Amino acid sequence: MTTPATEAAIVFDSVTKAYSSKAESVKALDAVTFRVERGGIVAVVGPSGSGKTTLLNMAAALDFPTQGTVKVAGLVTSALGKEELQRFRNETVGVVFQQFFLISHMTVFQNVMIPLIPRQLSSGEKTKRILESIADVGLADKVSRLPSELSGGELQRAAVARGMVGGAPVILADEPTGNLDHKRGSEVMDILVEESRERSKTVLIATHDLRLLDRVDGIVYLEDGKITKVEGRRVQTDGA
Amino acid sequence: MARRHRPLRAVSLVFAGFVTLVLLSQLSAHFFAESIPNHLLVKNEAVISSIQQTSTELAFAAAALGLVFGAAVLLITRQKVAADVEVYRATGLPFSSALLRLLRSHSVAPLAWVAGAAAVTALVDVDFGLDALFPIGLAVSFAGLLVVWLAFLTTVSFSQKGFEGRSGGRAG
Repeated sequence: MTTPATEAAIVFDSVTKAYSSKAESVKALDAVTFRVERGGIVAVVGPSGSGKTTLLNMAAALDFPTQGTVKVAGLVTSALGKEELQRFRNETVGVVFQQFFLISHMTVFQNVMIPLIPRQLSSGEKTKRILESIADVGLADKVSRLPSELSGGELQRAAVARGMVGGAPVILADEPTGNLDHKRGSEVMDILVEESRERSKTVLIATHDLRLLDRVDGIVYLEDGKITKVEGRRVQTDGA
Repeated sequence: MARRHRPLRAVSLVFAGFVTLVLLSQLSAHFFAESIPNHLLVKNEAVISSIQQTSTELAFAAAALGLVFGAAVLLITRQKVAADVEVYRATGLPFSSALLRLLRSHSVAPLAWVAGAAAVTALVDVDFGLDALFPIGLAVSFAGLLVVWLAFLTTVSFSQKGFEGRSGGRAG
């Protein structure tokens, strides 16, 4: 499952996500259209409640549009069957969550191993990849530590390692620096930028940290579920 | 070295504790029933029957308490366990693989120890009159409850949209 060179890595085409309750219907995303080129690092910026996380969940195929289509690495997420969906989540996207979501009773090594569990790889190959990923984020000396023994920055870096270990062409990071001070946040950003520049990964980051914006290729501004502005390279809002 | 927090292992230990209570109530009933007549000049069937009756009631009470306490801990730890399941789902693990990981991480070993202890006790003294099937059955039931609970949480997670059990995830 690879990204064709000619295809945009992420395409949102008139994506609307509405949540209905007895009293009202709320649109978390409203006719959102944009495309991110392969290898680009793009930030989705907006205030809390603007729909950033919903957008990332859509790209990760953890949620699906009420209207419109989301295409990632050439695959329309809502058209995927059960097994294709699992393969998509495992091989096509790597997700980094804001709250880390590391499993508390597992070591850093075991947490990073999770995406490789369904892979048909030898245990030696799995171990090699895990250790490389952990070393890439600078946690080589913390392989056997539990999450409770790590600092906030280290937890986030471990979560990034888990998002990258599977070699997915698209990395989705939800507020990857949200719980970190500027120095730690900058370190995590360095890792994501390096992943994009050196390994041609497409990185989509949801953030409200404006200090990150000079590190990205493009920015999608989101407010009340609508795109208000798109700027920079490698991201377009027309002709998605 | 920090301790590994395994929420369902705690549940397992709670269940195991109550199964042990059941076992102890049965053993104590046996010892009382055996010892009291030796101190009485006349073997009193009514007393023995009463002891056995009380033992059975104690065993059932311990089993019921175990269920209540265990279920309470299961509910309390639900979010924690559900978050783990969500991570497995988000990283593309199949349902069966996620369930297997949960079962392996949240060991039901303490229940197995108790069931084993009950079986050994029954084998050591077949004349005990000990109803080992009751504690063993209880341990198996508790273990079954844990497995069903994990299967339920996994099913709920895998059939929902969004992340963290909330459509659309967190605000933002």
